[in-house]
Amino acid sequence: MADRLNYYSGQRVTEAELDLGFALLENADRNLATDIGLFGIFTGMIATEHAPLADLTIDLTAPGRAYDQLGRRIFYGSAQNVDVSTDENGLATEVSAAGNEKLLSVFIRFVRLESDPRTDRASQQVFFRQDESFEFVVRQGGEAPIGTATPPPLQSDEILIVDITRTFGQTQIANADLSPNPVVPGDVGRRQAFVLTSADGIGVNPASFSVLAPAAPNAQSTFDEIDDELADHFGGLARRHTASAIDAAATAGTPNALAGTTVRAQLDELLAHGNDHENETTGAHAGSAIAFPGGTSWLGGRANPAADITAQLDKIVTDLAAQVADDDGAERIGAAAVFGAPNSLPVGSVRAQLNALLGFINTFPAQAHLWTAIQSFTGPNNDTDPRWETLRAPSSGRQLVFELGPPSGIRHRLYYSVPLARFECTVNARWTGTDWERDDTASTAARYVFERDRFDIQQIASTVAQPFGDSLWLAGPSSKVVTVFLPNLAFGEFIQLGRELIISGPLVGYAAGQAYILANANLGGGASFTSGTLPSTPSSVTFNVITQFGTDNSPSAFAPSVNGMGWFDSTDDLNKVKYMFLEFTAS
Amino acid sequence: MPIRELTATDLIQTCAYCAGTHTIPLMHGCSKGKRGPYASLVGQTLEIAVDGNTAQAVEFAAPHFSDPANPRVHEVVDRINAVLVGATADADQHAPRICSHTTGVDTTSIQVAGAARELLGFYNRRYGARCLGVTKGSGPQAMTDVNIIDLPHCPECGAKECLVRTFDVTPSAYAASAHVAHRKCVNALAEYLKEHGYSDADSVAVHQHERDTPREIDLTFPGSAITLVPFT
Repeated sequence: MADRLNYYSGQRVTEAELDLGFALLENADRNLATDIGLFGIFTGMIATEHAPLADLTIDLTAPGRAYDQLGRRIFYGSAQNVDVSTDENGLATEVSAAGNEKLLSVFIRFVRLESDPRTDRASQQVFFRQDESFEFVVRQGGEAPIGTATPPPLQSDEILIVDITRTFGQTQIANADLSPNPVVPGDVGRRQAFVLTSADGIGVNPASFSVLAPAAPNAQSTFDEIDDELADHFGGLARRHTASAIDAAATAGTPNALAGTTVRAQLDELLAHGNDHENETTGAHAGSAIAFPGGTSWLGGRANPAADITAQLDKIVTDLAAQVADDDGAERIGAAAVFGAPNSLPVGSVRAQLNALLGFINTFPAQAHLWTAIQSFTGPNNDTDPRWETLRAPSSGRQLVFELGPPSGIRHRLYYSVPLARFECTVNARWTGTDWERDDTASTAARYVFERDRFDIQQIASTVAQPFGDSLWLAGPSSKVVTVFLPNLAFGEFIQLGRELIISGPLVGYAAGQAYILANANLGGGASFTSGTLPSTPSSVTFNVITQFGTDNSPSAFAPSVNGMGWFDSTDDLNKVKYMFLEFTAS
Repeated sequence: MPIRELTATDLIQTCAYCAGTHTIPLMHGCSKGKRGPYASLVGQTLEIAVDGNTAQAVEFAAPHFSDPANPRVHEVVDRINAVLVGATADADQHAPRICSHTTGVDTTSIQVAGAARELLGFYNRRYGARCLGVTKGSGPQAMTDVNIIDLPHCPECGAKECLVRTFDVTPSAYAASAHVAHRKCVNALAEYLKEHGYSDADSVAVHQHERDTPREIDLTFPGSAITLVPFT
């Protein structure tokens, strides 16, 4: 409502009073606007670079509507063009120094456009029409280095449309020089757009909020709180969704699908699949599902083209297992050179080195070798395999198996003879193939003969001329022989050589006795065993009476010992010469 | 070795000179002849004194043999057993053998005489049981060895074996020899005879006071028979 004037009957109304009536109504209109906070640009007045060719003017969109701080309406209906090369005072707005800038501000303000001039009673010209209108005001700030210039201050009765940055030598105002930039969405700059009311003037009731906790119970604080929450959420600082709170649609796939309905569930499924895959309990990649891009060819030239892993692994096994001549697995494996003496292995393939080694081995038996290190043989207990064996079985003569000793002088030899069924160890005796020779002619020669039935120790005197025949070992005035001839022993006999010959088998002896003996007296005697001693007292003595006279012809052993025994026999009842010749065997 | 096998009743002997084999009872008087042929036996008489009693005459006639010119040993044995009382004849290794039914050191014996004795290979000796200890001579000239067991003469070759109880110990190198095995067997027999009273009359006193026993002895006897591997 407006202040009222109560024109009354008979009143002579003056110009001033009529003007006052309009003024009061106009004030009421403007008060309404200011009371509800109406000011700023409502529509239009968007500043852009001049089209079609930018210059030092700017274009403003139409229609333009605004209210100034006093509630006055500002309006124009067609597009406007504003020259910003000079300011409101006609001063150039150009920048005088390179590296500097200057900020301009374009305002619009309310003015009255007077028209319809008339002449009043006092002969003064007045304008009967005083329409609402506008005008643009260009203000400039101080010049300053780029980035440091400040814009002109806002005005109490003018509405700021746009700020403009001018630079040194500038001849055109481009959109990029405008603030707000019309082609940048959301750019508002300092433009005084219409604001119905500030958000901090709108109340809210936080008690009903479940998440937000605004600093004050108004819309601005609530928006700030929302903005903070969203900033945390979008920035990942806080208020992030838990995965179980995010829906996820089931996803088909082979071999695995995602059946969970939340991100959490599907992540768990993916983790399980991943773990299974890495642990390879299940879900490992089939080799056929992993590509092999192809690789270097084998040594020897066999190619390795692109394939999958399974195929390539199969190919590697096949290639390495190949047993084809000149294209086997060993052909494909490299081997470094190995230097040695007397043989070395050149760099090449395993096949090449195996071939070289085989050549060395094959020629080894036919080569003479000088072993400078101790050669040892070993094996398990009760091993029945020989550690050293000679397979030659010469059908005639004898084979020299071993020869020990210094290069010159007396040597020791082991001979083996199939025809003689024996082996012989000689000292200082060498078989020439037909005869024997001594290594040292001044020394005796010895031969130890081992046969199935006998063992001989034989020696030839140093005086025997050489070569000498094989028979000379056994017969001749210059030979010595010790023989153990086993056929002379009985099975079960055990003979031990020492200071005396101890034989476990039967020993024999011979005894005789003769005397002039009274009736019923005994004839007796004693004798030693002729062929050795027993290991202990005999448990059996058997007599064989060769001849006797006057005895009972029934001798019995008395006090036998390991060396012999006594014997007695009773005689007849006559006083006469009586005798007995007997032999015995004891065991 | 001379003893081939020993049981609680017999020993089987192999003669060291002729290798003849004889089964000799331990506690019975026994005399053994030799293997045939027994030509000219028909018409001859064998006189057998059992346990020192009057000799029993066994006459051999042609009807007693399937081939009178060549009597067989089992026919000889059958003929003896048809007459003999107090003893029994059998064939041992194809030779006739006569064993008394009685036992005892002095009570059991067999002594054979008669014209058929030499034809059948019996010795004209009185053979009693085996006993430990032997005495030669009598009176002041008597000689006794308490460790000897006389065996009967070999009817094939006349050799006579004496078994010897031994107390020394054979060196361990010979522990597995036949020599030691025979010693263990003989010692087992000697102790067995002594325990059962089969000692020579002049050895009884010594045996009764003995405190020592052979250390090489087969303790399985007489519970088990002893079989020895003979020298070949």
